[in-house]
Amino acid sequence: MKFPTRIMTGDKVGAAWAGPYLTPYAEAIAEHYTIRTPWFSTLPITLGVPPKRLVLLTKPLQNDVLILGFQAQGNAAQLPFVYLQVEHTSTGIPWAAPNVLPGVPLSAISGLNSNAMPNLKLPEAFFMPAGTQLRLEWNTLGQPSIASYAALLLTLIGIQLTNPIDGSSPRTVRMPNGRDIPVGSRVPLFMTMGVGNRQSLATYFLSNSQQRIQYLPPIACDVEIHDLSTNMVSAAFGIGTGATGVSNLQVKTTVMGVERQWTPNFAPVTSLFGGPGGAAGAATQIFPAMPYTMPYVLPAGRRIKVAVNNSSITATFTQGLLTFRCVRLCEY
Amino acid sequence: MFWFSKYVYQILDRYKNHFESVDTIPIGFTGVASERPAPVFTNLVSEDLLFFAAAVDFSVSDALVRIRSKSPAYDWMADTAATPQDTPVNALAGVFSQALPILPLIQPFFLKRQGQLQMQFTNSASAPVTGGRWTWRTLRLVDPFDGFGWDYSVGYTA
Repeated sequence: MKFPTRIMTGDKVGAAWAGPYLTPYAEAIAEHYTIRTPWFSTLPITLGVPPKRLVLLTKPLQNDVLILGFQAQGNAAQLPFVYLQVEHTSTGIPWAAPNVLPGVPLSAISGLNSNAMPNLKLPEAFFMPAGTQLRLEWNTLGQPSIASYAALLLTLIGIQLTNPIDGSSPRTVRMPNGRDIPVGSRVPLFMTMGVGNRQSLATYFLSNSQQRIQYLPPIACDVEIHDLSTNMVSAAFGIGTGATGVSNLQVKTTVMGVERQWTPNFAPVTSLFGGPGGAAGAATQIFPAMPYTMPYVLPAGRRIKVAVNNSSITATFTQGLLTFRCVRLCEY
Repeated sequence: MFWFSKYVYQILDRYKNHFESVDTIPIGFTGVASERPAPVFTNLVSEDLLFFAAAVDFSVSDALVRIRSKSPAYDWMADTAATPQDTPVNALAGVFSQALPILPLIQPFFLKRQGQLQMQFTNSASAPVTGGRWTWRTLRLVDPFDGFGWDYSVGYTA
């Protein structure tokens, strides 16, 4: 297999909310329409006492929409432990890779309203044709111990597309490299892993002075990795270098089977992963998802090895989660 | 922050001049929890406008807003639910005390001259605001080359 060294799509916009800065794929879809207007859809979610599982369907839309990002309003200390799985009902493709965890932590897929970056862009825009729906599956677990989850609002933010140039939605779009790809062949993908030993249904535990090697699941398609997010860059863990600070945690990532992709040593988790950061009610990080220098194409079937090291001699990390935010490159 | 897409350039290219314009609108909250004051409107302007970003001068997180435009009429938050859920203010607008006090729209919005945006607010249920101001950052589009400028009937051409 040829080792991919360039992103031929030129796709790199990052997670930060920089206004109408679209990926080439999103721009190519939008150019198929004569009129674009802002679009917001807000959904109330009541989760209450954990554990809880709740499925909601979005309302069918009158016009095609490009969904570009999410915002969640709720208790900032709880939202990183709310898990969301998203599926388009027409394709059934899940956005969160199947995992022990029932979805992607909300703080890795959505901006938090109290955050320095209140809206978070998806790694790729999602094209939602008129009349179709998203299935949102919500889960809370027993860990960490939260008596009751506060009600939250999830806002989907995007562009409403009206008056298609040739009267119908585009089937293919042309990328910057000149290749025509089907609309729907680039879908957001989130791969989440717990940090450390799994001790019960969803309790991950990394003891003091312990190292551990873990793997992301292999995916049947090529995957572009765009940015990384963790709930550990947050007030719950502490960002500093104190006894319990997340700076005691180091990580090293390696793509298995690709000899030239390796990292010589451990790096502080804060140099690779973004997160909500700060105190519970006043999160501070401009990049809740820290971008790769450029998107990295993980070939189909390959896995990423993640080695984690807790350098603290006293502190343990419980229920730490790492999320790789990606784009699944598949044609169905 | 203010990134121009080809769609925006096509609109701008129809005018000789583009002037910075700021429109601040008092919301009229009276400090009552969950109150829904009468809708407020952007100020009438004699030129076409492009709306780029918004800001609010309060920091409560659970105030809500619903926005529609007149001339032409677009509902930004179309919702077929029996009880439509309005959108948190800071999904659209930057909060004055935050790192991003102005939040850009994901899609700049074109408003024809003498048009208005209607904004229906709902006050916070937990920490109600008294007063409150919403600010739009816009570009005023002046001196159209053809005398008419851009319009939704013109649209975007790839």
